[in-house]
Amino acid sequence: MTKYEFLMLANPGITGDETSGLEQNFERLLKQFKGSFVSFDRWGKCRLAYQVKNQDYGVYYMARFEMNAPQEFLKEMKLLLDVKYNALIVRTATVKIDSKKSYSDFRPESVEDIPTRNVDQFLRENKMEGLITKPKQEVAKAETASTPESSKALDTTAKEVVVKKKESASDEAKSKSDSNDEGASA
Amino acid sequence: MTKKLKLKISARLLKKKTKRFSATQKKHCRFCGGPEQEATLDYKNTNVLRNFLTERGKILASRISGNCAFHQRALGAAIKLSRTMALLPYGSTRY
Repeated sequence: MTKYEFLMLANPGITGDETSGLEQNFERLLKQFKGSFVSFDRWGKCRLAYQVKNQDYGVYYMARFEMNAPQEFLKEMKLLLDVKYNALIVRTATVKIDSKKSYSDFRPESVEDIPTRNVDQFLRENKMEGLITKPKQEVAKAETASTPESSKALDTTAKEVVVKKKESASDEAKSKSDSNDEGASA
Repeated sequence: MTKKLKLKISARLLKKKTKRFSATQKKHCRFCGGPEQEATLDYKNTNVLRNFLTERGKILASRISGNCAFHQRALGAAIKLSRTMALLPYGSTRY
């Protein structure tokens, strides 16, 4: 039995159900054509070297199997991908592996493998702690705890200002109305 | 009779001699060092294949990279396959 690799490039929008369905179909066809299943890997979401169908990212699937004459099987597999997974699978490649060599496990860097870091942690590491935004509740607590009296005083002054503003506004309105009356009378 | 020493050398000859006895290292094939090294030549191993591309994505000549003819052919095939699978760029480097 000769070793084969079947690499598929899928749309990044492929769901978990669709991948499991793809794997099941692959295994079913392999049984039908009397091949032996080796593995079915999901390489994860990767950044492509160039845009394929207006997509910057893609998901790779590596299916490995052993078979003596895979022509019919590959025809059937291609038909399945063209009909059922037409929108999802963008590119495929089949590679025959030398009988002396074994399967090699090189793969491109996946975006999912890169650890995501917290923004606050990044700021602390790079000495930019002033840029860290605290959550709103903590800020309010800190203010009340540090200067309760001053905050109260501030509130009262703010209220007074508001009242004053209101008064002034009412005065202006009155004066305006007076002037209007005068104009009407004149 | 003693032999007359040749004192004058033409510029062309000098250039030839310096080229022959220069201290530059001889180029060697990167994949001829045994089965382990040969296994690195794979269409999925883009980190290695990228060393044999120019900035514009062209395949480097064996005259420059120093690969043997057999592995240069295999390298070309590997790069072309990984290009179709969008693992390597056709034209310029990563956008």
